[in-house]
Formats: sequence, C-alpha cells, structure tokens
Amino acid sequence: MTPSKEEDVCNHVKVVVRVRPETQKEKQGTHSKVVHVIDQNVLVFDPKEEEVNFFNGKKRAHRDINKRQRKDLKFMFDAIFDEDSSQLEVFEHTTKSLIDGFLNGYNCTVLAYGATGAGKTYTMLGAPDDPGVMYLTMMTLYDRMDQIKEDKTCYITVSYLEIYNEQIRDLLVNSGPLAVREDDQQGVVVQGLSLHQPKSAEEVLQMLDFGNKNRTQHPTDVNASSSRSHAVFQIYLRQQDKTASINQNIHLAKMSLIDLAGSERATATSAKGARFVEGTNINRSLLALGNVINALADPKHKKHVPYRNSKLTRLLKDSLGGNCRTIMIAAVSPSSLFFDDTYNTLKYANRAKDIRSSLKSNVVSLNLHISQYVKICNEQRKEILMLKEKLKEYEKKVGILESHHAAELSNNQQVEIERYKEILKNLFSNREEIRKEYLKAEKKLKENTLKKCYQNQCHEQIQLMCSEEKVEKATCKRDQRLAVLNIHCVHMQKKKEEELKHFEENTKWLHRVENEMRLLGQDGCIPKELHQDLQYCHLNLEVQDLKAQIKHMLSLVTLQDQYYKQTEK
Amino acid sequence: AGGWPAVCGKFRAARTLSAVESLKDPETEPYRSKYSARALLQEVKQLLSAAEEGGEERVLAVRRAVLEYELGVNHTDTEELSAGEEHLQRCTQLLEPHRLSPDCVSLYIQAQNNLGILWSRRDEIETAQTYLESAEALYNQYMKEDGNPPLDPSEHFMAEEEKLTDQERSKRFEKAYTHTLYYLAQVYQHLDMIEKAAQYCHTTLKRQLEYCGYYPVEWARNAATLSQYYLSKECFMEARHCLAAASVIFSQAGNMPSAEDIDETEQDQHDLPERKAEIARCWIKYCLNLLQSARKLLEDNIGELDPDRQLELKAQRKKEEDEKEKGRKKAVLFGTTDICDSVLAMEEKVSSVYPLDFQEAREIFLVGQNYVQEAKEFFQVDGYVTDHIEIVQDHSALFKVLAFFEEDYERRCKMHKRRIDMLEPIYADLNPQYYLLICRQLQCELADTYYEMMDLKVAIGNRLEKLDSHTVKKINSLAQFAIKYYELFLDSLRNPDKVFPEKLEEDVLRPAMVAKFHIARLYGKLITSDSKKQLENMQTSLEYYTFLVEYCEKYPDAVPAIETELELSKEMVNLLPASMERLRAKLSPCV
Repeated sequence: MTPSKEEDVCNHVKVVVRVRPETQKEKQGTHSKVVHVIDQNVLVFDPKEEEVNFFNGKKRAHRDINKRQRKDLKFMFDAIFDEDSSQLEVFEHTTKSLIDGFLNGYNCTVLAYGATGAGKTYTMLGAPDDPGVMYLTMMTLYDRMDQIKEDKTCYITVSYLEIYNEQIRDLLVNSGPLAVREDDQQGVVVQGLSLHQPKSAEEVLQMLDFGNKNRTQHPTDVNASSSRSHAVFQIYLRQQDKTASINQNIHLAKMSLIDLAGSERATATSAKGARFVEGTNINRSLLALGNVINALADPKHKKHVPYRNSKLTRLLKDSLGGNCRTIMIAAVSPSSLFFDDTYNTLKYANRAKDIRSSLKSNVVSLNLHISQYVKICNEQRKEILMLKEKLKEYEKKVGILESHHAAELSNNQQVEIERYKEILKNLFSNREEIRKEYLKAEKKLKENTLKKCYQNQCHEQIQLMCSEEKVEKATCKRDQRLAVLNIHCVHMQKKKEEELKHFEENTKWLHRVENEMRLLGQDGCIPKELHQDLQYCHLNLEVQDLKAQIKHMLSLVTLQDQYYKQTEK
Repeated sequence: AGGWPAVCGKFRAARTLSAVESLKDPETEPYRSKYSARALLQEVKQLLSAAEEGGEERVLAVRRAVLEYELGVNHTDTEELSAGEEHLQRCTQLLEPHRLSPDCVSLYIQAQNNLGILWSRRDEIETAQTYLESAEALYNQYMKEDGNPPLDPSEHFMAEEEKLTDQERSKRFEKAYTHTLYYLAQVYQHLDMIEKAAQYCHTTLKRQLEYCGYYPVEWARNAATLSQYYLSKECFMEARHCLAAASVIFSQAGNMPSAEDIDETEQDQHDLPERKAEIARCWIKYCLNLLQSARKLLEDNIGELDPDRQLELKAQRKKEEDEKEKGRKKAVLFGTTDICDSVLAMEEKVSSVYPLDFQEAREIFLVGQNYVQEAKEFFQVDGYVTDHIEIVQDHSALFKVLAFFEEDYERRCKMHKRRIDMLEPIYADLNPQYYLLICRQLQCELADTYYEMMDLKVAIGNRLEKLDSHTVKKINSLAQFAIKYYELFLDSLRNPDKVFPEKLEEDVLRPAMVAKFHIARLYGKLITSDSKKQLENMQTSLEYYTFLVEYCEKYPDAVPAIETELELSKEMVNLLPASMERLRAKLSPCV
C-alpha cells in the first residue's frame, strides 16, 4: 500500500479507459470490433485486418467500401478495463485509491468522459443490481467513516449541479441559473447552491437519482442529446478530532464526481467545452479564430491568454492541481458503429494525460531568479573561500601552499586567463607585423614584375619605331634597368621567404599557446572567454590583411595607370 | 430555357435550406435540411442535363461545376467525405481550364478550400495544405493578372437583373480568400509551423478589419492574444501594434453594429468590462516582458546593471535608428487610414524599444501600473481570487524589474518594500486548502523579496564605517522574515499529519531545496554579538546544508536539479564544523 501511495501523490491525473461489451445489436449487425485490449495498459484502436478477421471474418467486405487505411493506433493509459471487467474491479483501481487521500484532506476529482451509449453512466451510476463507481465510493466512504468515528467527527455535505449551455443549475432543488465566484476563504463557490446532509450511502444514491431526473436531458435517453450537459456531484467532508484539544485539527476536503458532456457532437455543435477536443480538424467559422491564436500564445510562461473560461473550468479551478488528485475514466464502445466517437474519446483521453505536465509546470518557478542566484552563489563561494582560508590558518599553516592552490583555483584560473589574453595579444601583434611585411614584400614583387614587363614593352615599341642606334642605346639602358630590377626582385624574394619563416614560427607558437590554453579549461577545451578572444584575434588579423591587400592593389593599379598614360603619349 | 427561373428557384431554395434552415434542425435529425437541400440539388442537376442541348457549352460546364460544388459541400457537411470529395474533384476538373477567368475563379478557390477542409477531417493535413496553398496562389495570380471583382458562384443561377454589384462581388470574393488564409493558419498550426500560423492569423485579422467582417470585442480579444504570441518571440513592435489595435477596436464596441452574423452580441455586451480588463492584462504582460527582456540584455553575471553594456546598447540604438523596424512595421500594419491613425496614436503612449536606463524603464513601468489598476477594477479579490492575485503578482514583478534599473540602494529597497506591502495582505487572507499553489508561489516570492531587501541593507551597511545597531536590527529582522516565509513554504509540503515527505515530488523538488539552501545561508548571515547564539545559528545552518547533502545521497536523481547548491552545501558541511569548533574553543578556552 505504502509505495503505491507514494506514487499516487506524484501522479495528479490518472487516465483509465473502460471498454464496454458489445450490445446485442452490434453483435448482430454488420459491425466489427475496432478496439482491441492488449493488456492492462495498452489498447489498439482500429487494428490491422488479420487480428479482427479472426473473430469476424465474413463481414470484411462492408468495411472495405470505405477504402480507408486502418489506423492501427496504440494507446497507453494508466489502466484499461476490457469487456469482462466488473464494476468492482474498476472501482478498486480508480476511486478507491482516492478515498485515502480524501480522508486525509485532499481534494479529489473523478471525471467520466465518453460518448452517450459508451457506458459512462453505467460505470458511474450502475444498474440497481450492479451499482457503479459513485455508489461503491460512497459505500466505502461511509464504511471508513464508521471505522474512525471513535476518534473523529465527520460531516458530509453534498451538492449536485448541472452545467448546460454554460448555465449552472442546481439539480437537487429548483433554481434559476447560478453564478460561480472565487472566494479567498472558501475557494470556488457556486452562489445559492443547495447543500444536503445525507446520512447513508443509500440516501446519496437517492439524491443522485432525483437529480438525474432533473437534468435538462435525461442521461439515459438514447437520443444522444445529453451531450451538452455536464453533471457535477460534489461531496464535502469535514473531519474533526474528537480528542479535546485547544488547536483542533480540522480536515476539509472536496470530492467532485463529474459526468462530462458526451463527446459525439463536440465538433458538430461548436460546444463550448470543445476546447480540449479540437482535433486536427479545420474550424470553419472565423469566429473560432481565437482558438487558433490561443494555441499560439502559450500561457505557461509569463503570458496572459484571455480566452473565455468555460463554467466547468472555473468550477474546477481549485480541484485541479495543488494537492488535488484527479482520475479520468473514459468509456468507449468496441463496435465499429461508434468508430468516430471512440476515436475522439481515445484522443481526448490521451490528451488528458498531458494535463499532468501542464499542472506541474506552473508550481513555483524559480527560474526567474536565476540572475540573482548567480550573485548568491558567488557570494557563497566567497564565503567558502574565506572559511577555507580561516580553516587553513587554524590548522597551523600545514601545507599553506597547497591550500592556496586549492582555494584560489578559480581565482587562479581567472589570472591565468588574463595572462593568456596578454600572451595572445602579443602573439597576434607580432603576427600582424609579420603579415604586414610579408604582404609588403609580395606587393613589391608584383610591382617589380609589372615594371619589368613595362620595360620590355617599351623596348619593343622602340625597336619598332626607332633607328638602330637608338635601339641599341635603349637596349643598353633597358638591360641596366632590368638588372637593377632583378637584383631587387631577388632581394624581395628573400625577404618574403624570411617573413614566411617568421610566420611559421609564429604559428607554431600559437599552437603551443592553444594547447596550453586547452589544458587550462575543463575537458580539453579552451575556456570560452579565451576562445572568443582567440577568434577575435584571428578575425582582426584577417581584416588587417584584407585592408593591406586593398591598399596594395590600389597602388598597383595607380602604377599601371601611370604607365598606360605614358604609353598613350 | 423556359424552366430556367424554376431551376434558379430550386437552387436558391437548396441554399437557404442548408444555410439557414439546417441551423434549426433538431438534434435527433441533425442533417434533415441538408438532406432536403441535397435532393433539390440533384433535381437541379437533372433539369440541367435535360436542357443540355440548349446553351453554350462553357456556360453549362460552369453551372454544372457550381452544382458539383454545392453537392460536394453538402456531402462533406453530412459526414460523407468520399462522396463529397468526388463532387468537389469533379467541380475542379470542370473548371480547371477556366480557373483564371472572372466567372470561375471564386468558385475554384472555394472548391479548393473545401477540399482542404475535407482532407483535414481525414487527418491528412499535408494534403489539405497543398489544396489551400494552391487556392492562395490562384488568388494572387488572378489579382495580378485580372483583378476585377469576379462573379460569385451563386450568380450562375440568377436572372440577369438580380446579378450582384461589383462591390458585393468583391466583398464575397475577398471573404472566400480570407477563409483560405484562415484555414491555412490552422493547417500551419496543426503542422507546428507556429510562426507561419501566427503570420496567417495576423493577416486574417488584418483582412477582417479591411473588409469590416469583424465583431469588435472578438477582434480585440484575438489581437490582444496574438500580441502575447509576439511577446514570446520578443517582437515588441508587433506586440504593441496588436495591443494598440485591440484597444482602439475595443473602444468601438457598442458603437458599431456587428457586421458578421452573430447572436452572441448580448452576452458580449454583458462581458464588456471583463474583456476590457483582459486587454489591460495583456498590456501588463507587454510592459513586464519588455522590461524583463531589457534587463536580460543589460545585466552582468551577478544580475546587476552592466554600465558597459548600457553604453554599448545606447550607441547601437542611435546607429540603427529603427530603419529595420519601419520595414517590419509595414508588414503588420492594421487597418484603414482612420483606424490606423488612432492605433498609431495609441502606440505613442508606450515605447516598443528596450528601455536602457531608469528614466525609460520608469515610463514603461508607469504604463504597466496604470493597466494594473484598470485590470484590478474588474478582477477584484472578491469573486476572482486567482485572477486578482495573478495581477498583483505582475505588479510586484513590475516593481522588481524596475528596481533593477534603480541605482540608489535605499530607493531600490523601498520598491521591494512596496512588493511586500502588496503581497503580504493577500497571502494572509488566502485559504491554503483551496489555493495551495498560489500560496506557495506567494510564500516563495515574499521570502525572496525579504532576502533581496536584506542583501541591499547589507550592501548599504558595508558602505558605512561601522554597522550601527539600527542597521543590524533591520538586517536581522529582514532575514528572519525571509526565513519565516521559506519555512512556511516548506511546511506546506508536509502531509496532513505534519510530516515532511521522505521523497519530494518532482515539481516542488527544486523550490524546496532552494528554500532549504537559502535558510541555511540566512542563518549564517544573522548578526549577533553573542557567541553562543552565533554557534546556535551556525548549527542550524549546518543542519539545513546537511539536509541537502543527505537528500541527494539518498536520491541521486535529485542532483541535476540542484547541482550548484549541492556543491556549495557539500563544502559548507565540511567547513562549518571546524569553524564551530574554533568558536567553541574560543568560548571555553580553559577546558
């Protein structure tokens, strides 16, 4: 008992599915079974052919007309009850576990969901000879109260109401529409709702029966019209210790048993409760644009989404979340006759599992304080450092050096980082210088080639146009010039190579520094700060390079221009 | 064509049946009128094929297409998807060659809309997407190449003199296209293409406004909600535009009869104050998020304002001069000129760029605070407990983020005091039985606020030469209050028998651990001249640190949630005993 109790606390919303047996009509008709229960937690909806064929071979032809691919969907739930399960089994695995919590002062909610005719009412209310979950719950509750009546006085009050067309009506007395309001002391209150004090489980059942007759549409009518009315039965339990003491322990708890509106027409009749149900279907009315936008604006984080709360949501505001425990029972029919209804119900139930996570997420979010938190941690670290230092002192200077090392590890790292930053700075200014020289050499070389080329060209022109004598003179002059240029060229070449060597040396150095920095950081990576610094340096160098290149290009271009102008003359 | 008027009459009757009468069908026979309409349409179809020899082929083909369309929609409405698909396909086949001509384009788009809907009902949303996107493309192509108001499908069964005006035609055509966009918005949403979905929602809203196809309250609510989406994307300019438009349009409510066919008007009139308060709440979130995002940009690693960042951002802002914004703005602008002007005037009242100093932050804060008052007018504690408290929490959050921008510690402290003053009375009145979650939130927030105030007082004290007794008293009392609220929070986790749970639930694990950790620190911070008292405090502090360490040893899966705290706690658990030993030794040197 205890371990499961522990877990119950964690699981706020438990979703179970009950599959009812096929009716006579369904067995006779040309319908197949579309729900296949695999085990206690898994069922397959619309399974692949062969499995069903086995039971119902000859009727395949009818479904094939649809030419629709079988969905073969697997659903997982907290519990699944197949056709053969008894009311008692359902009760044992669902609401029974709630009763402990209820007696301990937790609010509890049981939601029943499913299309009309899927066995919802049967599960909740049951037949006279086979009472349902509500009855069994009340029986157990009264039993348990009887057991503890020596130590505690218990009061039970109940109310029964219906929400139809977004209006709340009392089902136990005649009343007009009632209003919901939140009270800071009493939680969600329905103003003017009558409260009753039944003495026994039987009396409760009579009330339920009476209330059901008052419902706008009688839920047992087969005409599918109860679909828009939710029925909410609430039990308030007040316990008081009998032992006379000054600070009397009073437990208050509320249990809500809710018969949700049927799912079958949810899409057809723009039902207000359809918020949950929305499948992938496209909504045609522009009036529903809000639904789409609501879905976009996620209210979980700091946003306000002003959708219109349905009465039911308002009513259950204090019953979902917190210390509340919630069970949802989805009832489905196995027959293909209710294919769509069953599919919708299963999808809805599947989605209800998510309520759990959405409830959890909005407890106390501390993430907002993260920045403040860093401050605290830093302070704490400082304090620890201080304490450590004091401790070392106190321990009579043993291993002062090591202690310094340990205590100032993070501090040291900061210092190291600064040191490396300095190194990087030097390294790169060096590197920049080298690159500059290198590029300069390269430019000179280019200039050189250009000049040589020009000399040759000029000489050719002279050869073409002038007398031999002049040509010879010019040749001489040209050779002289070329020789000078060549010497220059060799010189530049040398310088270029030199610079290249310098550059390589610098690169090696850089690698060494990089490796050292890697050792500094954890798991062999360069600390982020340094990494950024390094990147910055690289980029900066690149920029400088490009700038120098542009400058050089321009000077080359002007040089060329000059020559051209001269040639034209 | 003697029977033509009769044919038209039948067609019209069928349309009335399925559009008007079907709404009154009893739930037991939900499709009664639809079925009658279908029978009529079949008759029309037969009459039409009888008259085949007569008219021009093209005209006949289009008329047939109209019928196929109506039948297709009818079948889809009555959940006979396969038949519906066949009819609609036939319709598009007939129209394919003429789809860009004025007499066919509207029908073709509507047929594709319906095919999109049909496939979405089969859960094949990608197929739906292709139909709808092709409808969208066709609209754009038509408007580019022709652009004249095209014929409405129903006109093909009208006598010449009944034909619609160009204005009406245009209105209907645009409406069909608005629907295309709206369906696309849904398709994208289902496909998790959130940004696209938002963009299409925005366009739908915009078109509703342009073609007067909206109901002010509803429209305002949608625009306000959309702003909340933009907030999550930190698109403050868009968010502000939506909110300003929401406020402007909302102010029209009641003055303007609804253009769309809605019978909810009365209900909505009744809700006007609530709707107004809802929009105010959206504005509050806008101000809050803008301030908080700015804070995130400006803070250094210990959560204080970083002056370098501040200068950098200011310089950057000057440079940018909202060049970019203007382009973005054009894309989202709502409405016709007169509405647009009021919207822009509304926008003037609050900035949409990040505040970078106290003055700018304060202006946004004040706007937010005004909306807090407005929202509280409707959402009063009495009747709307949870809503009211959410608003107060936002108000407190506004103060908190404003304090970040304030440089003066004393004044900052006063802002936090304001937070305490608004949160404490609410908390005191709340019944934890029903509002456990909120109570816990308030406990944590109050504790954190006291903590922050204590920190500030300590910082102020450190500036003084010597701590005076008054400051010491103040610091201690603030620390005690912080401890009190953390303890209250921890107490709320106890079960009805007042026992602290062995294993904490996942959702309260971190808050609970952080509370323990903070209490441990607070005990360490308490200032006392009495060494014995100090020893006691250290002992208590140690106990809380030990709890954290031991809990994590027992449940190693808790470690990731509180790694930093755990690390620090471990060190403290190692260090504190020695310090205490020393103190003890000092206390009784002779023993």
